Amino acid sequence: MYCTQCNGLKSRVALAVGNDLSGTELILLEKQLKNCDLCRSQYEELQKSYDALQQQFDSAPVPSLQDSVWPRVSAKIAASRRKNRPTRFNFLLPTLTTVACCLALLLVTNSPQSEQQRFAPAVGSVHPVGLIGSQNLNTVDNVFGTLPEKQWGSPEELLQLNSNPYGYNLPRLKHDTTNSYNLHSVKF
Amino acid sequence: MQLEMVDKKIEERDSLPSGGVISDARLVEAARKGDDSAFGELVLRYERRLIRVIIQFVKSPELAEDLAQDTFLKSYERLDQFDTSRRFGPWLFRIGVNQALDHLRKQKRRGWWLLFSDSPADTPFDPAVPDPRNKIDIKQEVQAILEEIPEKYRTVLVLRDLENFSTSEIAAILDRKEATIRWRLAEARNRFQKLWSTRQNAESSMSSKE
Repeated sequence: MYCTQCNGLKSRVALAVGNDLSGTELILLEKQLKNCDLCRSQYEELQKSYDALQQQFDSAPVPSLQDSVWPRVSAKIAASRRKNRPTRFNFLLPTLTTVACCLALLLVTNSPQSEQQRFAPAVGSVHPVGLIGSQNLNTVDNVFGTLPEKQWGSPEELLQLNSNPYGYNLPRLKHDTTNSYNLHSVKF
Repeated sequence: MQLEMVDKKIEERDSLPSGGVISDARLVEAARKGDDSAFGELVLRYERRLIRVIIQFVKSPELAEDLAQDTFLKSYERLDQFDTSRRFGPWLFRIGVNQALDHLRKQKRRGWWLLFSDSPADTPFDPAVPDPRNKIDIKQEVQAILEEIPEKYRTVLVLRDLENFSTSEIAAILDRKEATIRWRLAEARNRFQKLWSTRQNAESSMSSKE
Protein backbone atom coordinates (compact mmCIF):
# COMPACT_ATOMS: atom_id res chain seq x y z
CA MET A 1 0.00 0.00 0.00
CA TYR A 2 1.10 3.54 -0.74
CA CYS A 3 0.76 6.29 1.80
CA THR A 4 -1.90 8.91 1.18
CA GLN A 5 0.69 11.51 0.24
CA CYS A 6 2.41 9.28 -2.32
CA ASN A 7 -0.67 7.71 -3.90
CA GLY A 8 -0.07 9.80 -6.97
CA LEU A 9 3.27 8.03 -7.43
CA LYS A 10 1.61 4.66 -7.90
CA SER A 11 2.00 4.52 -11.65
CA ARG A 12 5.46 6.10 -11.64
CA VAL A 13 6.78 3.51 -9.19
CA ALA A 14 5.37 0.74 -11.37
CA LEU A 15 7.06 2.21 -14.42
CA ALA A 16 10.34 2.69 -12.56
CA VAL A 17 10.51 -1.04 -11.83
CA GLY A 18 10.91 -1.85 -15.53
CA ASN A 19 13.12 1.15 -16.35
CA ASP A 20 10.30 2.88 -18.19
CA LEU A 21 10.90 6.32 -16.68
CA SER A 22 13.05 9.05 -18.14
CA GLY A 23 16.19 10.18 -16.25
CA THR A 24 14.66 13.25 -14.66
CA GLU A 25 11.46 11.40 -13.67
CA LEU A 26 13.55 8.70 -12.01
CA ILE A 27 15.63 11.20 -10.01
CA LEU A 28 12.48 12.90 -8.74
CA LEU A 29 10.96 9.57 -7.74
CA GLU A 30 14.09 8.45 -5.91
CA LYS A 31 14.02 11.64 -3.87
CA GLN A 32 10.42 11.04 -2.89
CA LEU A 33 10.97 7.39 -2.06
CA LYS A 34 13.86 8.27 0.25
CA ASN A 35 11.46 10.18 2.47
CA CYS A 36 8.74 7.51 2.65
CA ASP A 37 9.34 4.01 4.01
CA LEU A 38 5.88 2.77 3.05
CA CYS A 39 6.33 3.68 -0.58
CA ARG A 40 9.83 2.24 -0.63
CA SER A 41 8.55 -1.08 0.65
CA GLN A 42 5.88 -0.96 -2.07
CA TYR A 43 8.60 -0.43 -4.64
CA GLU A 44 10.42 -3.50 -3.31
CA GLU A 45 7.26 -5.58 -3.55
CA LEU A 46 6.81 -4.51 -7.14
CA GLN A 47 10.42 -5.38 -7.85
CA LYS A 48 9.86 -8.94 -6.55
CA SER A 49 6.83 -9.53 -8.76
CA TYR A 50 8.69 -8.02 -11.72
CA ASP A 51 11.58 -10.45 -11.14
CA ALA A 52 9.11 -13.35 -11.22
CA LEU A 53 7.83 -12.09 -14.57
CA GLN A 54 11.37 -11.84 -15.88
CA GLN A 55 11.96 -15.48 -14.94
CA GLN A 56 9.01 -16.33 -17.14
CA PHE A 57 10.61 -14.31 -19.95
CA ASP A 58 13.85 -16.26 -19.63
CA SER A 59 12.11 -19.64 -19.65
CA ALA A 60 9.99 -18.93 -22.75
CA PRO A 61 10.74 -21.48 -25.50
CA VAL A 62 12.63 -20.23 -28.53
CA PRO A 63 11.48 -21.85 -31.77
CA SER A 64 14.30 -23.22 -33.88
CA LEU A 65 14.98 -21.94 -37.38
CA GLN A 66 14.95 -25.50 -38.72
CA ASP A 67 11.20 -25.65 -38.21
CA SER A 68 10.47 -22.69 -40.39
CA VAL A 69 6.82 -22.07 -41.15
CA TRP A 70 7.65 -20.64 -44.58
CA PRO A 71 7.18 -23.91 -46.56
CA ARG A 72 3.71 -24.32 -45.09
CA VAL A 73 2.91 -20.62 -45.52
CA SER A 74 4.02 -20.68 -49.16
CA ALA A 75 1.88 -23.78 -49.76
CA LYS A 76 -1.11 -21.99 -48.25
CA ILE A 77 -0.42 -18.91 -50.38
CA ALA A 78 -0.28 -21.07 -53.51
CA ALA A 79 -3.54 -22.80 -52.54
CA SER A 80 -5.35 -19.51 -51.93
CA ARG A 81 -4.01 -18.18 -55.24
CA ARG A 82 -5.38 -21.24 -57.07
CA LYS A 83 -8.69 -20.77 -55.31
CA ASN A 84 -8.96 -17.12 -56.32
CA ARG A 85 -7.85 -17.64 -59.92
CA PRO A 86 -10.78 -17.05 -62.34
CA THR A 87 -11.85 -20.24 -64.12
CA ARG A 88 -11.29 -20.51 -67.90
CA PHE A 89 -14.26 -19.36 -70.00
CA ASN A 90 -16.24 -22.40 -71.05
CA PHE A 91 -17.56 -21.99 -74.60
CA LEU A 92 -19.75 -25.07 -74.38
CA LEU A 93 -22.16 -23.59 -71.86
CA PRO A 94 -23.34 -20.50 -73.84
CA THR A 95 -23.51 -22.57 -77.05
CA LEU A 96 -25.69 -25.22 -75.46
CA THR A 97 -27.87 -22.55 -73.85
CA THR A 98 -28.43 -20.83 -77.22
CA VAL A 99 -29.30 -24.12 -78.92
CA ALA A 100 -31.75 -24.99 -76.16
CA CYS A 101 -33.40 -21.56 -76.45
CA CYS A 102 -33.75 -21.91 -80.24
CA LEU A 103 -35.32 -25.35 -79.89
CA ALA A 104 -37.78 -24.08 -77.31
CA LEU A 105 -38.75 -21.18 -79.62
CA LEU A 106 -39.26 -23.54 -82.54
CA LEU A 107 -41.44 -25.83 -80.49
CA VAL A 108 -43.63 -22.92 -79.37
CA THR A 109 -44.07 -21.43 -82.84
CA ASN A 110 -44.79 -24.74 -84.65
CA SER A 111 -47.22 -26.13 -82.13
CA PRO A 112 -50.69 -27.03 -83.71
CA GLN A 113 -53.29 -24.33 -83.12
CA SER A 114 -56.37 -25.16 -81.13
CA GLU A 115 -59.36 -26.09 -83.17
CA GLN A 116 -61.57 -23.15 -83.93
CA GLN A 117 -64.89 -23.13 -85.58
CA ARG A 118 -64.60 -20.69 -88.42
CA PHE A 119 -67.41 -18.53 -89.64
CA ALA A 120 -68.05 -17.81 -93.24
CA PRO A 121 -66.18 -14.79 -94.59
CA ALA A 122 -67.73 -11.44 -93.90
CA VAL A 123 -68.28 -10.78 -97.63
CA GLY A 124 -71.29 -13.01 -97.85
CA SER A 125 -72.77 -11.96 -94.58
CA VAL A 126 -75.51 -9.49 -94.03
CA HIS A 127 -74.34 -6.55 -92.01
CA PRO A 128 -76.94 -4.96 -89.78
CA VAL A 129 -75.57 -1.50 -90.53
CA GLY A 130 -75.90 -2.22 -94.18
CA LEU A 131 -79.47 -3.12 -93.61
CA ILE A 132 -80.46 0.10 -91.90
CA GLY A 133 -77.66 2.50 -92.81
CA SER A 134 -77.32 4.76 -95.82
CA GLN A 135 -74.78 2.66 -97.73
CA ASN A 136 -77.23 0.39 -99.38
CA LEU A 137 -79.86 2.91 -100.25
CA ASN A 138 -79.25 2.33 -103.89
CA THR A 139 -82.36 0.67 -105.16
CA VAL A 140 -80.38 -1.48 -107.57
CA ASP A 141 -77.98 -2.95 -105.04
CA ASN A 142 -80.29 -2.80 -102.12
CA VAL A 143 -80.64 -6.22 -100.79
CA PHE A 144 -83.25 -5.05 -98.36
CA GLY A 145 -86.06 -6.22 -100.53
CA THR A 146 -84.48 -9.59 -101.21
CA LEU A 147 -84.28 -10.41 -97.57
CA PRO A 148 -86.91 -12.52 -96.06
CA GLU A 149 -89.78 -10.67 -94.47
CA LYS A 150 -88.69 -11.55 -91.00
CA GLN A 151 -85.27 -9.82 -90.76
CA TRP A 152 -84.16 -11.25 -87.41
CA GLY A 153 -85.49 -14.68 -87.13
CA SER A 154 -84.96 -17.08 -84.32
CA PRO A 155 -81.37 -17.77 -83.35
CA GLU A 156 -81.61 -21.22 -84.79
CA GLU A 157 -82.63 -19.76 -88.11
CA LEU A 158 -79.75 -17.33 -88.03
CA LEU A 159 -77.36 -20.13 -87.42
CA GLN A 160 -78.85 -22.03 -90.29
CA LEU A 161 -78.18 -19.04 -92.49
CA ASN A 162 -74.55 -19.50 -91.50
CA SER A 163 -74.06 -15.79 -91.58
CA ASN A 164 -72.40 -13.45 -89.15
CA PRO A 165 -74.48 -10.30 -88.74
CA TYR A 166 -71.49 -8.30 -87.47
CA GLY A 167 -69.50 -8.71 -90.63
CA TYR A 168 -66.37 -10.22 -89.13
CA ASN A 169 -65.33 -13.58 -87.87
CA LEU A 170 -65.57 -14.24 -84.19
CA PRO A 171 -64.06 -17.10 -82.30
CA ARG A 172 -66.77 -19.44 -81.43
CA LEU A 173 -66.50 -21.89 -78.67
CA LYS A 174 -68.23 -25.20 -78.51
CA HIS A 175 -70.32 -24.42 -75.50
CA ASP A 176 -71.66 -21.33 -77.29
CA THR A 177 -73.71 -23.52 -79.60
CA THR A 178 -76.34 -23.83 -76.87
CA ASN A 179 -76.48 -20.07 -76.40
CA SER A 180 -76.36 -18.49 -79.80
CA TYR A 181 -76.95 -14.97 -78.42
CA ASN A 182 -73.68 -14.70 -76.55
CA LEU A 183 -71.30 -15.10 -79.43
CA HIS A 184 -68.63 -12.91 -77.84
CA SER A 185 -68.63 -14.49 -74.49
CA VAL A 186 -65.65 -16.54 -73.56
CA LYS A 187 -66.12 -18.46 -70.38
CA PHE A 188 -63.24 -19.37 -68.20
CA MET B 1 12.98 -29.81 -51.21
CA GLN B 2 11.40 -26.66 -49.84
CA LEU B 3 13.08 -27.13 -46.49
CA GLU B 4 16.43 -27.36 -48.24
CA MET B 5 15.69 -24.10 -49.98
CA VAL B 6 14.81 -22.51 -46.67
CA ASP B 7 18.04 -23.73 -45.10
CA LYS B 8 19.98 -22.39 -48.06
CA LYS B 9 18.25 -19.05 -47.68
CA ILE B 10 19.09 -18.92 -43.99
CA GLU B 11 22.72 -19.67 -44.77
CA GLU B 12 22.76 -16.95 -47.41
CA ARG B 13 21.21 -14.49 -45.00
CA ASP B 14 23.70 -15.35 -42.29
CA SER B 15 26.57 -14.90 -44.70
CA LEU B 16 25.36 -11.48 -45.86
CA PRO B 17 27.31 -8.49 -44.55
CA SER B 18 25.32 -6.08 -42.40
CA GLY B 19 25.21 -3.55 -45.21
CA GLY B 20 23.74 -6.11 -47.62
CA VAL B 21 20.53 -6.68 -45.68
CA ILE B 22 17.51 -5.62 -47.70
CA SER B 23 15.05 -3.42 -45.83
CA ASP B 24 11.60 -4.71 -44.91
CA ALA B 25 9.97 -2.03 -47.05
CA ARG B 26 11.83 -3.19 -50.17
CA LEU B 27 10.90 -6.79 -49.48
CA VAL B 28 7.27 -5.78 -49.08
CA GLU B 29 7.40 -3.92 -52.41
CA ALA B 30 8.89 -6.99 -54.09
CA ALA B 31 6.29 -9.28 -52.50
CA ARG B 32 3.54 -6.98 -53.74
CA LYS B 33 4.87 -7.41 -57.26
CA GLY B 34 4.56 -11.17 -56.88
CA ASP B 35 8.02 -12.11 -55.62
CA ASP B 36 7.21 -14.88 -53.16
CA SER B 37 10.83 -15.34 -52.12
CA ALA B 38 10.84 -11.75 -50.83
CA PHE B 39 7.91 -12.54 -48.61
CA GLY B 40 9.68 -15.73 -47.58
CA GLU B 41 12.57 -13.58 -46.42
CA LEU B 42 10.20 -11.53 -44.27
CA VAL B 43 8.75 -14.72 -42.80
CA LEU B 44 12.23 -15.94 -41.90
CA ARG B 45 13.04 -12.62 -40.27
CA TYR B 46 10.01 -12.46 -38.02
CA GLU B 47 8.73 -16.01 -37.47
CA ARG B 48 10.71 -16.80 -34.33
CA ARG B 49 9.75 -13.63 -32.53
CA LEU B 50 6.15 -13.91 -33.68
CA ILE B 51 5.80 -17.51 -32.49
CA ARG B 52 7.37 -16.54 -29.18
CA VAL B 53 4.92 -13.70 -28.70
CA ILE B 54 1.93 -15.87 -29.60
CA ILE B 55 3.11 -18.61 -27.21
CA GLN B 56 2.86 -16.09 -24.39
CA PHE B 57 -0.86 -15.85 -25.09
CA VAL B 58 -1.88 -19.37 -26.10
CA LYS B 59 0.74 -21.44 -24.21
CA SER B 60 0.86 -24.27 -26.77
CA PRO B 61 3.85 -24.15 -29.18
CA GLU B 62 1.98 -26.15 -31.86
CA LEU B 63 -1.00 -23.84 -31.70
CA ALA B 64 1.30 -20.81 -31.72
CA GLU B 65 2.91 -22.13 -34.89
CA ASP B 66 -0.47 -22.59 -36.55
CA LEU B 67 -1.52 -19.09 -35.56
CA ALA B 68 1.80 -17.72 -36.83
CA GLN B 69 1.13 -19.37 -40.20
CA ASP B 70 -2.32 -17.79 -40.31
CA THR B 71 -0.78 -14.45 -39.37
CA PHE B 72 1.70 -14.59 -42.25
CA LEU B 73 -1.02 -15.65 -44.65
CA LYS B 74 -3.26 -12.79 -43.53
CA SER B 75 -0.43 -10.29 -43.78
CA TYR B 76 0.36 -11.53 -47.30
CA GLU B 77 -3.27 -11.04 -48.32
CA ARG B 78 -3.26 -7.53 -46.83
CA LEU B 79 0.13 -6.39 -48.13
CA ASP B 80 -1.59 -3.76 -50.26
CA GLN B 81 -2.94 -2.12 -47.10
CA PHE B 82 0.51 -1.82 -45.52
CA ASP B 83 2.06 1.64 -45.49
CA THR B 84 5.70 1.15 -46.48
CA SER B 85 6.71 4.40 -44.77
CA ARG B 86 6.01 2.61 -41.46
CA ARG B 87 7.76 -0.36 -39.89
CA PHE B 88 6.71 -3.84 -40.95
CA GLY B 89 7.35 -5.51 -37.56
CA PRO B 90 4.69 -3.76 -35.46
CA TRP B 91 2.16 -4.15 -38.26
CA LEU B 92 2.82 -7.90 -38.43
CA PHE B 93 2.75 -8.28 -34.64
CA ARG B 94 -0.54 -6.42 -34.50
CA ILE B 95 -2.08 -9.05 -36.79
CA GLY B 96 -0.44 -11.82 -34.75
CA VAL B 97 -1.57 -10.49 -31.36
CA ASN B 98 -5.11 -9.97 -32.64
CA GLN B 99 -5.08 -13.49 -34.04
CA ALA B 100 -4.01 -14.89 -30.65
CA LEU B 101 -6.55 -12.81 -28.73
CA ASP B 102 -9.33 -13.84 -31.12
CA HIS B 103 -8.40 -17.45 -30.55
CA LEU B 104 -8.52 -16.97 -26.77
CA ARG B 105 -11.93 -15.30 -26.98
CA LYS B 106 -13.27 -18.16 -29.08
CA GLN B 107 -11.86 -20.65 -26.60
CA LYS B 108 -13.46 -18.76 -23.73
CA ARG B 109 -16.85 -18.86 -25.45
CA ARG B 110 -16.40 -22.57 -26.10
CA GLY B 111 -15.51 -22.97 -22.43
CA TRP B 112 -18.82 -21.42 -21.40
CA TRP B 113 -20.61 -23.74 -23.76
CA LEU B 114 -18.84 -26.81 -22.33
CA LEU B 115 -19.86 -25.70 -18.85
CA PHE B 116 -23.50 -26.25 -19.77
CA SER B 117 -23.00 -29.35 -21.91
CA ASP B 118 -22.59 -32.97 -20.87
CA SER B 119 -18.86 -33.09 -20.37
CA PRO B 120 -17.26 -36.01 -18.54
CA ALA B 121 -16.83 -35.37 -14.84
CA ASP B 122 -13.41 -34.58 -13.40
CA THR B 123 -11.51 -37.25 -11.50
CA PRO B 124 -12.95 -37.56 -8.00
CA PHE B 125 -11.08 -36.03 -5.10
CA ASP B 126 -8.72 -38.53 -3.50
CA PRO B 127 -7.34 -37.44 -0.09
CA ALA B 128 -4.52 -39.98 -0.36
CA VAL B 129 -3.00 -38.09 -3.27
CA PRO B 130 -1.00 -35.04 -2.15
CA ASP B 131 -2.27 -31.67 -3.24
CA PRO B 132 -0.69 -31.03 -6.66
CA ARG B 133 -0.95 -27.26 -6.16
CA ASN B 134 2.05 -27.40 -3.85
CA LYS B 135 4.16 -28.50 -6.79
CA ILE B 136 3.24 -25.58 -8.97
CA ASP B 137 6.40 -23.74 -9.82
CA ILE B 138 6.87 -20.04 -10.35
CA LYS B 139 6.26 -20.30 -14.06
CA GLN B 140 2.81 -21.78 -13.59
CA GLU B 141 2.12 -19.35 -10.79
CA VAL B 142 2.93 -16.43 -13.05
CA GLN B 143 0.74 -17.89 -15.78
CA ALA B 144 -2.17 -18.32 -13.40
CA ILE B 145 -1.88 -14.71 -12.25
CA LEU B 146 -1.57 -13.40 -15.80
CA GLU B 147 -4.82 -15.12 -16.70
CA GLU B 148 -6.58 -13.27 -13.89
CA ILE B 149 -5.55 -9.87 -15.25
CA PRO B 150 -7.95 -8.24 -17.74
CA GLU B 151 -6.97 -8.64 -21.37
CA LYS B 152 -6.07 -5.02 -22.13
CA TYR B 153 -3.57 -4.91 -19.26
CA ARG B 154 -2.29 -8.44 -19.79
CA THR B 155 -1.48 -7.77 -23.45
CA VAL B 156 0.67 -4.76 -22.54
CA LEU B 157 2.36 -6.63 -19.69
CA VAL B 158 3.18 -9.62 -21.90
CA LEU B 159 4.55 -7.48 -24.72
CA ARG B 160 6.65 -5.27 -22.43
CA ASP B 161 7.85 -7.53 -19.62
CA LEU B 162 7.87 -10.90 -21.32
CA GLU B 163 8.73 -9.92 -24.87
CA ASN B 164 10.75 -6.78 -24.23
CA PHE B 165 9.01 -4.55 -26.78
CA SER B 166 9.40 -0.83 -26.08
CA THR B 167 6.34 1.19 -25.10
CA SER B 168 6.43 2.97 -28.48
CA GLU B 169 6.50 -0.40 -30.27
CA ILE B 170 3.58 -1.64 -28.17
CA ALA B 171 1.71 1.57 -29.03
CA ALA B 172 2.26 0.79 -32.72
CA ILE B 173 1.25 -2.86 -32.31
CA LEU B 174 -1.93 -2.11 -30.38
CA ASP B 175 -2.68 1.09 -32.28
CA ARG B 176 -2.91 3.21 -29.12
CA LYS B 177 -1.15 6.32 -27.89
CA GLU B 178 2.09 5.75 -26.01
CA ALA B 179 0.70 7.56 -22.94
CA THR B 180 -2.19 5.07 -22.86
CA ILE B 181 0.25 2.18 -23.07
CA ARG B 182 2.37 3.58 -20.23
CA TRP B 183 -0.68 4.02 -18.06
CA ARG B 184 -1.89 0.49 -18.85
CA LEU B 185 1.57 -0.91 -18.17
CA ALA B 186 1.73 0.72 -14.74
CA GLU B 187 -1.76 -0.52 -13.93
CA ALA B 188 -0.90 -4.04 -15.14
CA ARG B 189 2.25 -4.18 -13.00
CA ASN B 190 0.37 -2.98 -9.94
CA ARG B 191 -2.40 -5.54 -10.47
CA PHE B 192 0.15 -8.32 -11.02
CA GLN B 193 2.01 -7.34 -7.87
CA LYS B 194 -1.18 -7.33 -5.82
CA LEU B 195 -2.18 -10.81 -6.98
CA TRP B 196 1.37 -12.08 -6.63
CA SER B 197 1.67 -10.84 -3.04
CA THR B 198 -1.71 -12.34 -2.14
CA ARG B 199 -0.64 -15.72 -3.48
CA GLN B 200 2.73 -15.59 -1.79
CA ASN B 201 1.16 -14.67 1.54
CA ALA B 202 -1.40 -17.47 1.20
CA GLU B 203 1.33 -19.97 0.38
CA SER B 204 3.56 -18.92 3.28
CA SER B 205 0.64 -19.07 5.73
CA MET B 206 -0.21 -22.60 4.48
CA SER B 207 3.39 -23.80 4.84
CA SER B 208 3.65 -22.33 8.36
CA LYS B 209 0.48 -24.23 9.36
CA GLU B 210 1.98 -27.49 8.09
